[in-house]
Amino acid sequence: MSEPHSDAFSAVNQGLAQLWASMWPGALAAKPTTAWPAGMEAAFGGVADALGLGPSRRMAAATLALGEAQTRQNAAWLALLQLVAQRWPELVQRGLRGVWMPGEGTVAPGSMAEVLSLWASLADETAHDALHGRKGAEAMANCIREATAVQTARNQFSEALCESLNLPSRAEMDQAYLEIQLLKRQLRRAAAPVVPRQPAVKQAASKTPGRRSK
Amino acid sequence: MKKRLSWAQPEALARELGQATSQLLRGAQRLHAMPESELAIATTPKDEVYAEDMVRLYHYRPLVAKAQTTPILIVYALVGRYQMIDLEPERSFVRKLLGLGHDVYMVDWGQPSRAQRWLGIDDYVCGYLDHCVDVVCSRAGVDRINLLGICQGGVFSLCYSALFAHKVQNLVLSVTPIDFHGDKADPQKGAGYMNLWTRALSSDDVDRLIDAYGWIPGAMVGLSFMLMNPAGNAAKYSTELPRILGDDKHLLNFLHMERWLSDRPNHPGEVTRQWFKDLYQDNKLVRGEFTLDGRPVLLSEVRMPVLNIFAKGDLPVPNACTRGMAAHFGSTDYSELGVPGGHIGTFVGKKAQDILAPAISHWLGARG
Repeated sequence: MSEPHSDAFSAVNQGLAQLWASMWPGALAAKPTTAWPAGMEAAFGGVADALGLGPSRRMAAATLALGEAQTRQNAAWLALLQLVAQRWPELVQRGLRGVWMPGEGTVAPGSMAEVLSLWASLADETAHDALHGRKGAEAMANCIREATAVQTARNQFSEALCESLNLPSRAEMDQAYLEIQLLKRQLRRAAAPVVPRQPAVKQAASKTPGRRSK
Repeated sequence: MKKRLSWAQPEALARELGQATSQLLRGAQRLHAMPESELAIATTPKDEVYAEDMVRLYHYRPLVAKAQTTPILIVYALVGRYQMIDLEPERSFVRKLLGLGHDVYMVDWGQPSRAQRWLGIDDYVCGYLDHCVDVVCSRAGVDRINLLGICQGGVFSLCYSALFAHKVQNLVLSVTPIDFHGDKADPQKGAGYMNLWTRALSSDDVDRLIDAYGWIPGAMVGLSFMLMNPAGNAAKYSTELPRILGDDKHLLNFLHMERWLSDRPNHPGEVTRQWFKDLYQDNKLVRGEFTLDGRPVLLSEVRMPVLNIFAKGDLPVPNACTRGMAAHFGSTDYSELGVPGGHIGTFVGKKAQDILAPAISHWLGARG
């Protein structure tokens, strides 16, 4: 039979553990956490921002996201290389055949430099074999997707950095460029004749304002 | 067999290594002493006659008395610089045209900055290109010009000819993708990687890519081309360059090409979005669904004479995407010409150079 005060102590302990787990998920399970946990954010995020730590916290989060994205990008490249590397025995066979038994109309390499050139062309041929199928196209597309994710994380970091330095951010600059471009487009369309015309040759060079003709 | 494998003997290997080392040393000295004037590309004399934003229009000075009255406006792609067609005097497509008495203009799309990330194909075709055509017409005192588009510039020229047919006398397309799904039925190993990559992405993937980067950096464009033949490109620097270090002519050929290759402009984001989604993914050009400035680009409106040139060994633009397009055009005067070599070799390769300009000149001459 346990002591009453011992039960109370155990209940408090369990409660604290649950609170801790809810604020810092993964900590009790000894799993690595990669983001500012939701519980901590709910409790202290507001005050941290009020103290001017918002951009730093966003930069920290973006750095973590960047690290993860780069890891995934490396994995995508490795998967692509693996696809090509699976054809390595085929490349070796082709290479040996090229050196020992050149086909009709081809000459065996006469120097190490020629061997290297032969190897390069065979390596590319083998890579084409590996990459021209559905798996190859998907692996290459995945590399592009992961490169996009890395760039997105970089952008998040730069947005936070610009905010912390009181500089116009990338998105704000893009918005300004967009507005300029839309205005220029409107001007161009307004200057263009509505109906395709027989060209008025003499006036053609100076019809649109802002352009330079020499 | 012993003779064939003589290079594998230790003495032969040591001798080859020794020769390569001394060649590298001599080559390093030669490279160090090489003046900028020898490395310059695109040296054919020309004058800037029009400028708008980063776009420039050049007029080449005549080399012989003018024999052809209708000027040619050359439209290059955005993925590289226009200098490729005037790489060096002996390998200059422009010089050959000038030598045949043509009046040649060239659009230089320049180096788009982040400020130009929102430019679309609409802005290039209905804006910059149209303005350049107007300037050429005005300067030459003509109503129509001959338009010569190369690769992506060929697509721009084709769209322009469909929308502004009244300003184009003859249309010459070179290594131009038209049916972007042509490779599906006729896949060619090692060719059409851009088609494969783009189709493996979803429409949302492309949107995310453009939204994240804003533009496609020139270095990324260059890398994507290098990855089409990675080992070959690596071997170029490790075996080809040392081999030609003692040969000035070939060394300069190599260096001029490298200078051009390393000067990749950034690709505006919205152009890339249209290029990937509307053309590579949805193949809207041949389906008659591509629109610019709200107007449909109908190839049936291309009624002027068309010369469609393809490179027999083209890898970035598979032959299946560019050949046999007569049925799509409204023109009853459609011709095709195959030239030896690859995508770039069309304009810098010796064999192609001997054929290309004379064939274009002859074709244009027959049509006024």
